[in-house]
Amino acid sequence: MAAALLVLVFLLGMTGASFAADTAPKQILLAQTVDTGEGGDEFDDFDSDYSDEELVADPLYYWNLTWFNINDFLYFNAFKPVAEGYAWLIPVRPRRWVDNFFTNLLFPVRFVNNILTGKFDAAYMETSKFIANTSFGVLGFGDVTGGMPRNWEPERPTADGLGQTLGKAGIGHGVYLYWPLIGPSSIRESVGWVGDAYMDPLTYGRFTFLEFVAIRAYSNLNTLSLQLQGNEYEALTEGAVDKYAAVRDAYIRYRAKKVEE
Amino acid sequence: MKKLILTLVLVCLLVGAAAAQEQDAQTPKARIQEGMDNLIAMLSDPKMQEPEHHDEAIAELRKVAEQFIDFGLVTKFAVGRPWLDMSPQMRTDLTNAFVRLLERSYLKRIPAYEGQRIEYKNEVVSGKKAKVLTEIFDKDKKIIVEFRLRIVDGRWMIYDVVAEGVSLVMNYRSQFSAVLDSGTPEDLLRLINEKVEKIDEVQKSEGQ
Repeated sequence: MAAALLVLVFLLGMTGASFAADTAPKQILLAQTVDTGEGGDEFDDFDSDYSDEELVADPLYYWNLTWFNINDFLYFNAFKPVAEGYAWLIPVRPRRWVDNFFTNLLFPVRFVNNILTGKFDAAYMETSKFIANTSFGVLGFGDVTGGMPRNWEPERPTADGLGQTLGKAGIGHGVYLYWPLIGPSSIRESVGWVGDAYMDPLTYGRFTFLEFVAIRAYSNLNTLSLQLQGNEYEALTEGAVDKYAAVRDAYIRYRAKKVEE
Repeated sequence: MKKLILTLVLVCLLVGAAAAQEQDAQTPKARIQEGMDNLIAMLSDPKMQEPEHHDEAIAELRKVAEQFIDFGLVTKFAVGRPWLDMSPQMRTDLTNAFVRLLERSYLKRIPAYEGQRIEYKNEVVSGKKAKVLTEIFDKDKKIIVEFRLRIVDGRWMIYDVVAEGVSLVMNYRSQFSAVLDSGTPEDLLRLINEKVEKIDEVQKSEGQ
């Protein structure tokens, strides 16, 4: 991109010099050329700020779009109303306890990925937090470290999963995927989820598959009930001309930022 | 000799004027800070949240927003290169429609200011472009927001907001390019207007 821009500038310069030596009619042409170049140059200038962001292919567009539309429908007509009913029934405080519990439970995912990506200060923070919340926080229902001074905040944000670690290792997304119920993903992120499942203590509980799914669903319901006011999904899709494209773009860019952290 | 002195004086005057202008010019960070301070002051007024004053509140917010955000640039970059082939009238229509869409989406319910804290972390200037990195703290949640600015008519103006890595302009471009690839600018304009009308209907039914 930068090289192309340089070549463009060079050619324009040459053209300008050439025209300057010629007659009046061609000088008019020069003005037109410069104007067109200027317009294009401005877009190149804008695009260069974003050129380091990866493009991800979407070859399964129609399959993905179908599941997106189903999920979107379910969100507004099933998941959200149920979450609203649940939020009306249960006060916010116990719902935060549940959220803390499941967050605390996923300590192994964050710890292992912090180690794998060299974030040792974050790994230390996670360990301290896990111990403190498991004991003083009564199995993690309380978050006794919330609001603590800065020594609880590592220099770089803590890890959020194996997908991020794979990204830091230079592995690309592969292709964009949209899973039923689960939502936006890619080949890399899907592999990451499988890896994270091995580090999720729930995986090793003595649950039937249905029980496992029910626990997961309840955890997600509880999380959604805490995000009913202006959550990211609604903020993003409400003003979208093309909801599917908006979610896909936001997901890819958000994951790219996570890989950068 | 007199000519030389006169030339020197003229050059000094020009340099002086340029220096004075530079002193008057705000830095990109100061510009963002002024904008955010104005926004916080407005959102701290309880009247802004009153349903009966909603339209007036939006008009006020838009007036202030237009002093800091160049919506023409936002629309131009969201559309991308097809913009170069559009007529001035189409550009104006698209800009107005897009501004209405953004207005409807992001100002649907004017949020109350609840003590969110903003830290201005970093400022990078490169010629006529700049980036200001901020962190917004809302209760125990931290959101990283980067403002991107350009000099327009001698002032730094915002042309993009990147929140948690997601660029507003590029997000809309991914939507608009899908429409423009398979259709015409008129199709895009119609789609945007349809979306605005749909949002209006929803808001009316909620209001009732």
